[in-house]
Amino acid sequence: MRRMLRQFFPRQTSMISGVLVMNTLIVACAMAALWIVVGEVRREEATRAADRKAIVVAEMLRPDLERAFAEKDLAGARLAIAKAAHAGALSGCRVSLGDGAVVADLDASAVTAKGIPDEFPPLTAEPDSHHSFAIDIPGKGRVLLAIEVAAATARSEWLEYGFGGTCLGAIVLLGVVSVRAQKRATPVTLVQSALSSVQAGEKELAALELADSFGGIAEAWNGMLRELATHRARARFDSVLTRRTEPGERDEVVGKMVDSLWHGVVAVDEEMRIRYCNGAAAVFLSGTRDGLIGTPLLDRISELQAKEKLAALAAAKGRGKIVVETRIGEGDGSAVLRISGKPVSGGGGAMLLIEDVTQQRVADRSRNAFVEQATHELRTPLTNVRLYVEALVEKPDADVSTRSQHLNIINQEVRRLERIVGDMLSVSEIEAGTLKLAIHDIRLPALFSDLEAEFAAPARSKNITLRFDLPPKLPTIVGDRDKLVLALTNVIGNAIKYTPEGGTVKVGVRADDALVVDVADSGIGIAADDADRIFDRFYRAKDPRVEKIVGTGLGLALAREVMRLHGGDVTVQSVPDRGSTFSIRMPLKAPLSMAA
Amino acid sequence: MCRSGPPRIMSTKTLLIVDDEACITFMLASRFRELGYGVVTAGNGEEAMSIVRSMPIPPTAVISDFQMPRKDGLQLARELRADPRTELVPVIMLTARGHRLSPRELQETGIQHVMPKPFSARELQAMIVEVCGAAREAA
Amino acid sequence: MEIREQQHGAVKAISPQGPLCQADAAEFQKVASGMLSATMGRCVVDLTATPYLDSQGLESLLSLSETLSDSGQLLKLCGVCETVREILELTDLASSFEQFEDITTAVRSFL
Repeated sequence: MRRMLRQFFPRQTSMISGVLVMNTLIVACAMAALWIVVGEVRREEATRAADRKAIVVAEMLRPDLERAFAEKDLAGARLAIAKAAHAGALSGCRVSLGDGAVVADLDASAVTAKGIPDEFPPLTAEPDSHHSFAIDIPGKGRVLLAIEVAAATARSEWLEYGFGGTCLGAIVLLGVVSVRAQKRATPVTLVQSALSSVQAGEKELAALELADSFGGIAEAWNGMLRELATHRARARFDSVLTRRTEPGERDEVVGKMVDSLWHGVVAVDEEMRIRYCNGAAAVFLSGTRDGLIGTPLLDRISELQAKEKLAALAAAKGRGKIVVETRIGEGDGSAVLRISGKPVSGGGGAMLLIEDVTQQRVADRSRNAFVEQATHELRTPLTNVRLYVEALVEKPDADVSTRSQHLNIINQEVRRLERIVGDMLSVSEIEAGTLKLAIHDIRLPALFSDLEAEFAAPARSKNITLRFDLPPKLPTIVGDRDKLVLALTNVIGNAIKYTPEGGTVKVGVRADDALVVDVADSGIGIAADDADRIFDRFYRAKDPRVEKIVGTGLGLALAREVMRLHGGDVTVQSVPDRGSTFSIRMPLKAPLSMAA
Repeated sequence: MCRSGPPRIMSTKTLLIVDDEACITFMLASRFRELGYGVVTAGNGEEAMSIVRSMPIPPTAVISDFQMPRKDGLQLARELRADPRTELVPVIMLTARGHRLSPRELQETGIQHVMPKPFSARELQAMIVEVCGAAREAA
Repeated sequence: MEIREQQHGAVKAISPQGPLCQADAAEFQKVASGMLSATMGRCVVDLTATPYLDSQGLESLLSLSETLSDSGQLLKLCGVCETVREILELTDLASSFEQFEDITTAVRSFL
């Protein structure tokens, strides 16, 4: 039975809904059966009552009809019928002869016989279901009396229909109720299965949630789950906060937390002895966590000034923060630490935070050096501009050649300013990683003739022979013209700067699979250990001759950076005191990934 | 009517201008020459010292740039101060890093004045007049 | 296997020249470990020249990072190629290191 149920209601496996359905069906069947039975019984009864009535009426009519027909009293016969019909509430009454002629009828229009004949034809029709009776008329023959009883079942029919309708309605109602019960039963079933999985050990509240499509019950269930989750989380949090554990256990938890910090944390007592330090502090103080406990902190600091400042913490003079920066360690392994300390209020001793700021100091130093150098470099051309403009303004009637000379110098210095500012911007862009190339076609012959013009004067002032060896045909390459000029200017400028008076600088250009520019000078050269490092930012070779020459230490770094962005490079080959050859290599097409 | 009294001794005030920037030396030299000063120039500290040594009379004042190759302005000032012939010669330092010179340095090197770059020729002129008087005045 | 060193300010870059496998990995670990303690952890491992590594290589990198974790740091890697990055993802070890695009950004992280 259940299997059959499951067939019809595949999602239903619960007993409740099955029973409900069965109940409904049983009730429906019972009511239908009852309806049928009751109806039948009633009909039976009605029929029997009708029969009885017909017989009674027939008996009543018999004598009247016998007399009427014997006396050939047609009117009398009709009157008798009418009276009987009225008394018996008949719906029909007919007297007919054997040949079918109607002698008398309730319905006067049905009469067909003109009168009562002397001889009656023999009855051919047998009395039928309409309560027909044969009446013997002595001396004449037989006549057929047909009686129709009014349907007394009319009333019971109504009852039947009413009853049937009610049953049907009840069935439909029950059907609706059961469907709704089903709907409610589904989420209820799912909640049941959720509860049984909780019992089985499921802790994950997310796995017990029901889809919201199951309506009200599912929503309520989910809401309950969420509240439970919140409560659980709060309980966990509370338990961490107010953990009643052994002091050692709690320290361990805190200890692990503090160990995951990358700054050093140190606690010292009133005599500056280390009470506690975390992993990072142990590294900074060159010790082990446990080994450092109990030892004086100041033993780990070598610089006197720092020692004095930190000692003030122990004396707990004031509540303010003390910050010192001190160098520890030697040579390559040295570092600069920033130690911030604050006395512990009411507890004695102090807490210290140690940060490794070595790289910060290096970055600060190079930035400061760069800014100093750059501003210095800017001030000189500015001075020139100022002086020469002043001269022009003060002497409006000076001769043409003087004026044009002044103006040329101003022009030249302004371009110098332009270049320095451009370099500074490029450096800051490279530092920030935002340098992008503006890719266009570059016409090389024009580029090189510009360079020749620019460096003609500086070369001449030092009596240096500057020569450009260009092949007869130079291809048009694709890249960032300004950046290429920057790189070439820095390299050629260097060549002239580091070549003593009377030397030579030769710029050779060739273009096969890539553009290669070799700048060969007869200058002071570069030592082997410096050769790689001269491309580092702000690096200037240790050669005393180099130190005397003004420079930012940026030119080569910029040149290489910019060439590498194009997919090329700047390399050097050098012999100390003989000269150097810098090679700038640039692919004929710059990689698109670097385009702005 | 002729004036009586002994003739006043007119000595030309000489300025030594030292800077590795040719443009600056050129401009300053022509300006001060116009004003009547005698001007000698040098491109760096070393050159400056050799010129000073070769002069019969030391310059009235020295205008020098700070940062130069082959002996910078500070070193030049020190050497001038060390030599008794030139220890009283006032030195004016042209510098792009005026703030870098500490009072102690200024004192021990005898640098009288510092003129930060960029400057105007008029300002420098006023300073020279203050330090050693106008070109045609009595020394 | 050659192990190149380069100084970037106060940060040392260690660059193994080749795949980190077998004995090479062990050697690298020894050298790197010494460098890490000498510089107080101011080191970056530059893997630009390391096309792949085996479990030994992984183990060496992991143990270096674990030593650093005692002082709250992770081993910093830069220039990691596609293959090595995939290996780190598959073995679920990517989060045991700090990875950077190139040496410049890696050095900048020490500021």
